[in-house]
Amino acid sequence: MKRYLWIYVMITAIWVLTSCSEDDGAPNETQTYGTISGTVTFVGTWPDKGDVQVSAWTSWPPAGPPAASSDVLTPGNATQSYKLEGLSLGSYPVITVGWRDPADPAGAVVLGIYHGDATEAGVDSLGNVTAQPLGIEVSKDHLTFTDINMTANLDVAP
Amino acid sequence: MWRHKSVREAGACVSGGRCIGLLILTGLFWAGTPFTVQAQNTTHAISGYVYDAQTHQPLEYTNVYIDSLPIGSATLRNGSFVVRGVPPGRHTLVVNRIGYREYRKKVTVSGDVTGLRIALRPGVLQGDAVTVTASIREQTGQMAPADIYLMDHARLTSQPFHTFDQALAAVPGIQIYRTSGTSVQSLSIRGSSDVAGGGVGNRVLLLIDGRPALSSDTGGALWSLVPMGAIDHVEILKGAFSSLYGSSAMGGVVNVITRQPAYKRETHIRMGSGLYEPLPKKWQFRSSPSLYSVLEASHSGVVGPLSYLFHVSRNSSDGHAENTAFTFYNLYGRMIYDLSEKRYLDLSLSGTHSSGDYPHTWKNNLHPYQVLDKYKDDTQVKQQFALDVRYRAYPSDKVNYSARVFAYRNANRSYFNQNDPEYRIPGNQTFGLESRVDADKYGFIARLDAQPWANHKMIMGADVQADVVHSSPDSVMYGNRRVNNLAFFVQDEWTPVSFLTATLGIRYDVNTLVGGKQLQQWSSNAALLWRINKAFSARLLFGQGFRAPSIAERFFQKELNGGTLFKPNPGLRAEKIDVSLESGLRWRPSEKFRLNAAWFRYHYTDMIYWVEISGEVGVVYTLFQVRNLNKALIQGVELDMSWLPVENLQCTAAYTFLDARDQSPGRTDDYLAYRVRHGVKAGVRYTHGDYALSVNVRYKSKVDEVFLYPLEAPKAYWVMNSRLQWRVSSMLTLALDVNNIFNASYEELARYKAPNRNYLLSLNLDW
Repeated sequence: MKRYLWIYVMITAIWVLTSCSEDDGAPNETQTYGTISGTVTFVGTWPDKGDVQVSAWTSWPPAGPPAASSDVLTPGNATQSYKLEGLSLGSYPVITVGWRDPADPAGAVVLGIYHGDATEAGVDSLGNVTAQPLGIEVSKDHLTFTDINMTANLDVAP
Repeated sequence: MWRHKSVREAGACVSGGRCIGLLILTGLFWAGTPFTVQAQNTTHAISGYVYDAQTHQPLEYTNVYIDSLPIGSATLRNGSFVVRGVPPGRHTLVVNRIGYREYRKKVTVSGDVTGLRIALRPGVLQGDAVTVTASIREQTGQMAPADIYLMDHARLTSQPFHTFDQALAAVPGIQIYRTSGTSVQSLSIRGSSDVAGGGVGNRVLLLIDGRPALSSDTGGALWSLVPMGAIDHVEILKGAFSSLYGSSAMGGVVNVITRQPAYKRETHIRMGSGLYEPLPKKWQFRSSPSLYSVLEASHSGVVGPLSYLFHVSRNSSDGHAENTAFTFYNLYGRMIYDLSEKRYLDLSLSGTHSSGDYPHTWKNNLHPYQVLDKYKDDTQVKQQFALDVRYRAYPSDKVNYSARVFAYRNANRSYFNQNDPEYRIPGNQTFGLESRVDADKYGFIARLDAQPWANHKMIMGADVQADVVHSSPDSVMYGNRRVNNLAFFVQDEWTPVSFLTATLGIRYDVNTLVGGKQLQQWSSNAALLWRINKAFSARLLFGQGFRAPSIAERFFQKELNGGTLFKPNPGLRAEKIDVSLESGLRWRPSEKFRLNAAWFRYHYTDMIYWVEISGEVGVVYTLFQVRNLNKALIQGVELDMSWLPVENLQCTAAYTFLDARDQSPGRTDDYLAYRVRHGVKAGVRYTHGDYALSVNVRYKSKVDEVFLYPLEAPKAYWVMNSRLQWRVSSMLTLALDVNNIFNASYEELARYKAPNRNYLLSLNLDW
């Protein structure tokens, strides 16, 4: 009987330990994330292939994969809203509207950037950025950014 | 072979000029030889046989030595041993092996002593282990010319490990980065390896029974080939050891020693079912609980001169996160044919098959256990095969030699977006991508182990390997490539006086990319071991190491799943550790306590590293190139202790501090990616009659630098695992594992959630 008592004690000890977890696997409630949203106004002709997405980057010029990307925007719509959510606290020096063919990512181009003037893409017809990007700092004091509106020039895409 | 303390020095001659000092040192080595030849005339030999007192099985890898003298040996496969060079007089013969009580016997030597039969009884006291990795031959762990860590079979089976990477994660100084159940992205010893995916940037050499097990395309270790249920013990050699093992042995060597086939029939079965604790609703990615399972069976026996061992296992998991499900099979067989008492053939065959999801980064911070919709149908199939035939002979007590041929195949298939109706492509084209890699390795290694004089032990050999890679599509992967490597090595261990041992080794490698660049490399290794007293020893190591760039690093073009592009760099040079310094102390006042301290400093030049070059090239998409960094420095300290305060309580604890910096122009003092500054490993095992409770804990400080996703660099975490065992009878043992007891939510790699709390109930049958 003593041996069963011992194993009971050990299982109880493990059960107590597992009950002592800091949380239930849920995120710490003090953990906060940012959201960036707005609209994109498209000018030009939609390309017949590839994806158009809004992306937030942690460096300028963009390097590495984007920190966050929106859902693929619907081809054909002249104005669309977008949302980037679950953003870590930190600095995002540039927000872009980009086009990319997943089968050939080397052809990726920037169609527009956020630079404070929603009527201009800030990109010339060759894809060169002509405006100074306006960065966004997501902090505990400022988590939600709305009306981050941009214009995208679809004719830059091949 | 020797009862002494560990010492090592390592060194690699980058050019012939740098070898002059080494040659002078070699001359000094041999200058001491005549004195010992004379001494040999007045010594005798002690020989006998060591076996398990309970099973009567012969015990290999057992230390036999004369206490207080640097004279000793290790038992052979049949349990026999010979200790030579014993001076006349009365001595204490000591026999010990990990997992057994130490045996001591007074022996009076006036001539040769033969026919000793020594029975060892199982016990938890910490006898000194026999290792084979530091010198490619059996020697006492304390005599090894290196900092070597040993994980024995008892620890592997008593701790909550059911995969090999879980066992390695508990080793001091080792950091493992995983994306899912079967995907070890990187294993790093003291900050050596990069975390670049697919095993690229690996600087740790994996050996299985002494043969290299690296994939010929990426240079990554073939971890899944390790037959977890057939391991006898694992030796982890820390520091640069290119002088013995050539390319890739920069950070260290992990040598998996599989079990010898038994001399009587043995069968082992293990079955287990596991459950991941359900996630909070907002994170759930499936409606039913995620389960996992493990099934292992092995059988060993003997038929005439042939002994054999077969092992088969199946692991499966629904995945702790979305797109981490897998099914994995491992088949392993080993046969040893005794040609005579001192010659045998050793054949190993192994194969694996795994199929499952292709792991991806998380969707976002709000959905960390999910992936983007477009990744949900990405899958992969991996198959590996290995064949090894080794001949070993002991023609005399002073000479033994071996020769082996081996072959590997590592076949990977990755499938992306196969007929994905949810993945919206303008024009509704069907979109599917697939990559294939068949990476083959062929090798031949021959070596001679000789003791020409009583105080010299020499090892020399030749190593020939060919890497052949076929991959498609050509525009994405590496194309078809071949690399040949030819090497010669020699090492001498010299004990001029009873308290000092010096080791010196050198290796020459010629590495040729067919139709491309040829690399030539000298690597050397030197060590000093000073046995201060019976309990205390000091070691001083100096050396160099190198790694030839892998085919993937030279030619990789495109990561299909994420679309990241790479600019090939066929002109990559080999990276080197120009100076590797280590000093260490080992204190073992009794069998109940052991402390090991090490200070290390590795100077890298031409370090192969991934550099983002889109800004430099002037493109808006992500573009990487693998380049030779100018300089990097990795240094730190490591403390490792084990203690048995009472016989049924074992405690271990270790701490590693690491400072790893890129010292290239313009990046001076930047941290190298994924090198953590503080690592803690600790464990306790308490036994009470038929019950045992093992708890281990590991801590990793935050990652200061990452390649990708700097805002999500992994934070510091603690993880605790436990195993409760109940030995129901001599045949049956039950075990309950609780992993990640405190349900820590953590990442080893940026944007890949590690498993949450999970439970595994298993039963073991042995007869």
